[in-house]
Amino acid sequence: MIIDLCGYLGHWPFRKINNNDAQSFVKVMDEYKINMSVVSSLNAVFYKDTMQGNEEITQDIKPYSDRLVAFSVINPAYPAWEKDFATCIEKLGMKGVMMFPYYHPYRLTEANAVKLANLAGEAGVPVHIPVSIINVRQRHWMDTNDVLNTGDFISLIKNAPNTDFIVSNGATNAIASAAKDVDSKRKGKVYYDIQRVEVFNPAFDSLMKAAGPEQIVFGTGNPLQYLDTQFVKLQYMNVTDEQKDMITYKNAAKLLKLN
Amino acid sequence: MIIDCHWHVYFDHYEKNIEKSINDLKRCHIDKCALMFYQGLYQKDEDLQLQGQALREVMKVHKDHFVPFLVIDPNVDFGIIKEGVEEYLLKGPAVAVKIHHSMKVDRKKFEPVADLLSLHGIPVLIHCWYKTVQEYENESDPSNIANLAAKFPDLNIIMAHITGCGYRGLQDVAKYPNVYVDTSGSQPEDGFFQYGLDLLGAKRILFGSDFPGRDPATQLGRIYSVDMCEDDRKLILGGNAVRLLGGVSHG
Repeated sequence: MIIDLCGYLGHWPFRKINNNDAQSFVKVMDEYKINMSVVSSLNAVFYKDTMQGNEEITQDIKPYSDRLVAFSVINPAYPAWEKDFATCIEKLGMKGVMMFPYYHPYRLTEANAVKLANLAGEAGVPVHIPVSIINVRQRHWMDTNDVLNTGDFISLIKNAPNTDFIVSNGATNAIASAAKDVDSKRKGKVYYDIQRVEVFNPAFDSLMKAAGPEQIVFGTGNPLQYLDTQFVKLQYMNVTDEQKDMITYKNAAKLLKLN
Repeated sequence: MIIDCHWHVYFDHYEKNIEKSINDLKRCHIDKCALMFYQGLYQKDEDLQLQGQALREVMKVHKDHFVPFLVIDPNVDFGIIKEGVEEYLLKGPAVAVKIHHSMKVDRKKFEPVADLLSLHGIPVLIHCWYKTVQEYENESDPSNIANLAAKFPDLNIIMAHITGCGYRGLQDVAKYPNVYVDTSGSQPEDGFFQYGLDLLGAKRILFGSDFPGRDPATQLGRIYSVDMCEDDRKLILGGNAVRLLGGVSHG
């Protein structure tokens, strides 16, 4: 079984992407035998009011509610964000929160960001912060040049001790090592995906050492990246079958509170 | 046959790194890889000799696993480069040259090197990227490759890093049949490999990983992600490398 914790629907403003509507996204999932995907709205990242993107995606995934799970995009620097958070989780049934501090005008150390993370913890939903959405080296001149700040992230998880976090699409092995000490003292846990962790150099082993298989999850970056690349990693990683199941779906199922 | 045309081996303690490379090749079911020594090796004049000797040592024992490249810094005195080419390419074992980000390759200073390689039918793999941030000093971009290709139509050039070169980079070189592209490096962003295949055709694309910076498994996944006929896939995975890199005759 496969649960993909990092998918996106919607428009990426800096180049054309494919399979970014719910119907074609699910077709790709079928092709790769992905049982379930968490998706968030790329539109929401770039809308002035992220809530419009959250409302859109909720509608878009309705026909596929057994396959797609939506995370809300919340910008804690925008007015009424607390109301939006409540609406997303309580009324729209969204199962997590995405934070993009490099696209929205706040740092993870600021009070509202900390408050959002704690609210998520109280509501029992995880917070997902991708290290970046794409490689910055060919960024559009209007695109951000920043990625997730590790120091700020560690400060956030310390100040939101009961919240589960997901970190994806970056040097998650390095972040896991840096965060290990703080994370070990928390009730909530940080989960790391392997989109940019290679299995042939020491990176994957160091992620296993820092986080353990209980805190590694599977994400593809669909539809921004070719998916085979992540599946090939599953084939080559040096783990037991049980550990692979944890990585491919059991950890995700626990995070999403699925049976 | 699968040949990874873009594989670096750190020169310090290279014997150990060679063994690791062979293990990783076997794990990935990759038959052969380029052998390109790495890590500031070619900054000093005598480094080219050290490199060449090391290639010979490795190929004595491991010729079934490697396709040796001579890594050249074109800033080094041309006489030394010529000596290196004559000794380690024309006499062997190297079959191609690698240029890292040491010079924009359409500069006048590169012309004697290009001329020499062109004369002897030696292919050259050139690091190349279109970046808007984090550019390396003297990093070639696809427009530099296009200029070089136009000046030296008999020089077979492998432009590295298909995703880094992007759509515009592929467009830059499309009309030069002597330019090939390798698939190595970068995150496997959707669309770029497909675009390269549609624009250049399967005969001009070579599989590469950029190991150890990038995982051969992940990079191989890119090749399997795109729909194509199996003949095309075989060309990309190894057929083109056999054709391109098998042509240098050793005296």
